[in-house]
Amino acid sequence: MNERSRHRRWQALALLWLLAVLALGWQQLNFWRSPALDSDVLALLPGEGSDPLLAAATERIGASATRQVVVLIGAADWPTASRAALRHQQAVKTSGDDLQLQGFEAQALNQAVEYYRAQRGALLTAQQRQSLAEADPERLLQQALARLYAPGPSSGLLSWREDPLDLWSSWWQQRSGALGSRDGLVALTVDGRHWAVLRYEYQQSAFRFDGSRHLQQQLESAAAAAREAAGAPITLLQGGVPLHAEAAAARASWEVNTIGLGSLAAVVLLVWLAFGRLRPLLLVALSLGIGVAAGAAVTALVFGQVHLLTLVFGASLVGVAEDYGIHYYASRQQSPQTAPPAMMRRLIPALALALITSALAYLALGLAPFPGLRQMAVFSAAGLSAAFITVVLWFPWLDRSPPRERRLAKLIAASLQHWPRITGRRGALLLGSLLIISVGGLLQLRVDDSLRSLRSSPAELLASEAAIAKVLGLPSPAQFFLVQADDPQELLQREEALAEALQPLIAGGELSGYRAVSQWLPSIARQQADGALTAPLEAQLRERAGALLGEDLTLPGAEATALLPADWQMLDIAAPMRPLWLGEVAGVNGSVVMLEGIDSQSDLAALAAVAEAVPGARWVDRSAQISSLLGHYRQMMGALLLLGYVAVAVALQLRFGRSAWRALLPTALAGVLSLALLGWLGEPLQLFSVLAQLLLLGIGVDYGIFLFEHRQDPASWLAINVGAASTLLAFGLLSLSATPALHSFGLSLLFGIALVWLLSPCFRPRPEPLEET
Amino acid sequence: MSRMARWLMLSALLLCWPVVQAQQPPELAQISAQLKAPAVLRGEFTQSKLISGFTNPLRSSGRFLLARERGVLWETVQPFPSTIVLSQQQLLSRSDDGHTQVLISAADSSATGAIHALLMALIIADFDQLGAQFQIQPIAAERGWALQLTPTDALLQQVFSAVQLAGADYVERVQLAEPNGDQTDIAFAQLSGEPAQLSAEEVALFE
Repeated sequence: MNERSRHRRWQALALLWLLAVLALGWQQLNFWRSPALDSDVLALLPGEGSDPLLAAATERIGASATRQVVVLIGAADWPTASRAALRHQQAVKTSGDDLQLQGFEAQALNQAVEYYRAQRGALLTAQQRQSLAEADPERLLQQALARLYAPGPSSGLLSWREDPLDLWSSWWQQRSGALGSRDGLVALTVDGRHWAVLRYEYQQSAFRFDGSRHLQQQLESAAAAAREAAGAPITLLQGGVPLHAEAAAARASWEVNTIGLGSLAAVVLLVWLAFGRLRPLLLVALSLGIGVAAGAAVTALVFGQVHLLTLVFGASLVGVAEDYGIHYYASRQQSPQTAPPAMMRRLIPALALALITSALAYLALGLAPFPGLRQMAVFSAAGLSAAFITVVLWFPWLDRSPPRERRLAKLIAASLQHWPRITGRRGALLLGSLLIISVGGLLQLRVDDSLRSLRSSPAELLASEAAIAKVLGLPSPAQFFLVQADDPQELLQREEALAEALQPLIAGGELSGYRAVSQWLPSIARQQADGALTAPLEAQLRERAGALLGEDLTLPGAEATALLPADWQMLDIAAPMRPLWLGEVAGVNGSVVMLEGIDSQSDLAALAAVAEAVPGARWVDRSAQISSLLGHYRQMMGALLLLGYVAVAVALQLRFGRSAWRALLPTALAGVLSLALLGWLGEPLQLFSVLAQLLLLGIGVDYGIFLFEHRQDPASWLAINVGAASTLLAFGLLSLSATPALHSFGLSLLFGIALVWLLSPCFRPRPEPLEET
Repeated sequence: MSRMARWLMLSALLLCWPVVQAQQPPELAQISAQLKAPAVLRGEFTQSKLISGFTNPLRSSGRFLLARERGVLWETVQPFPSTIVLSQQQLLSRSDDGHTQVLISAADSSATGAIHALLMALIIADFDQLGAQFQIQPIAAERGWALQLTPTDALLQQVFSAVQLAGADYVERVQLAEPNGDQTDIAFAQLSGEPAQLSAEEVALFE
């Protein structure tokens, strides 16, 4: 009676779970139709929560480039580059609407010229400011007259009368840099090579997660057309965030399939070999499918979107979540007479404990405030729980017949009693040599906390982008100055002070230049000072030249109105600079000054020192910040790992008494040895290898516990073997990932799990029952 | 398009000057054959400029020296003595006391600098260079030859509306018309390839 009502409740829960699974299936169908996937590496890292200004700067800089695709076509002569570039444009245009060409807008320039013209005299280059301040009026007159009488045109950008010293051309020239326009293309010449610059905007917001690279293919066929049209060798460089995102999506799709399907195939094979029936195989696969789907669904619900690396990581769950099903069938095989519900009831405490320890180990990953790690933690914990629930609620009712007796299963199960024990001299010898291997490896272990560990961009794309940055003189997005002030004018003045402080570094070749709003929009103070410098000099020039030439060259004085940030921001040509102007954030006005021509050899300390000398300026080195953050959490997680060992040791001590070390030592040894192997292989130690150690503790101790709890139980040993083999394969496949962090995680666990698997039975207790404590 | 836009574009245009060995039409080949091409060309000039904002034409005269490898020395004697040194790299003025002032440097890829470099090609009628940017048409000439050069490139058209060259053994007259109405008319005289070597003093002026 009691039994029956319990069964009824159990079945009701199973039906309820069926509803949940159906809802899950529907959610997953919808999700994968247009998956909200995130491929931005920085999304894995904590934001600048405590620093709103820095957060705004990082966000603006990131957002300004998310859709840009830049293609550079270089040739020994301009007509070749031009032919190729025009053909490229045409090929891209005819291949679809995904890429929109961003043209050269003469309209925007006209608008800007009109805007600046009224204040022309107040716009000087640094060099002009200096030479005018020191100039002898007599020389200026000679210079202006020489221009007037020089062969060829006498007018620059403005007529001679308006701008007798032709100051304005240089001002514009300095701002437009080497870029010009030809044949309707943006053109520049660098070291004698002629380049056409094509800017496209990617119109799609998401990528298909089917491994295809449409954008890459589109650009490749356009490149092929361009090469054909060129008729001569050309250099073609391309770069942009969408290319990285697509490559990451394609790569992740491949990895998810390899890891997920590879592990699934292994689990299926192992289950078939061990249990020899179709039903166990299908049921275990079902629990895994539900587990992974639940992981993806819960992550999407909690975080809004799922990061690609989470999916890759999550795929390895297939090799971990199969444990529950396998344990159930191993026990069924061992005692086929026991009814499924009874068998399950007996197993539930051990399975639940295994779930809790594994889930806790995964959730520990989420202790660091890294959104990426939290996603992985949630994905894994949810996935494991769903697989567990599926096994517990469904298996007893769906399992119709016990698994077959298999010779292989018997052989494996029987192998335990022949497994060597570590005792006496032989044991000491083995432990000694392991110690030597460990120390040797650990001494070679080096630490790498750089952001590189999270990136998997193709090397050729990175090389191409580096070349583009060099040709175009693009500023670094990761290292910049952040300037703040109480009001916009003070901000511009501080930028100007910073620019002045940077001059020695530019002259010394540390930097090639900088980009700041104040280059396009001087502070009112500077506008007034420059205007006060040029106006009297020019008036005097016109007057004296007029007297010499017998002409009236004076100009009617125009009312000068200052150029202000609010108007300037409305200009079309301000678009590329707008992200630098942060406006008012949390009560202060902020802006970014970006630097051109910094590389790994640059003296970053000198730049940091510049910021200290300028009020309101701050040196920001995102790469260094991220590295120190990753380093900090590597150390924190390392401490947590030690704490975890202590906690597990205490728990084991309570349960097993003096022999507790037998359950823990194999895992500890495996952990140290796997770290040493990383050292021998030259693999760096990083946050993710420490996280792998945490998970190893969670999984590895289970083997020891099982061997302890079910002493000499062949079913338990079989389950451990099947489970370890599939876990091993899943992490082995994860170590194939192109993302160094996941590679390191997979590799650490591959070594770790293999070692625990081999070592645990060596430390198993003697067959005779130990006294309970 | 604004003057600004064309200026910026032109700088790129002229600095990217292609070296194209264009097939010369027979008339040009004939003129090329007739033209003397000394390594160093010397002569006198008279120049008249019409500039917007000025009521009277600006007349000047003086001597010039063109060294193919180095550039042009433009030595104005009347009305104000001054020397302009024009090379691919820069345009600088040199006053009597030896003080120099760089008016335009190609280093900052100034359009004006490039336009003055083009001037050298006009003075020696370098059809290989000119043919790449101008459509060259023979026109009626009282003696020798005369050519009408029409910019083919839309951007160059914004700076020169028309150019005329006339001469016999040498280019004797260059007329530039700009779309803004400014005009330059330069006549050369006493042209000679001798002495064929630059004096040390002249070399110093180019330095």
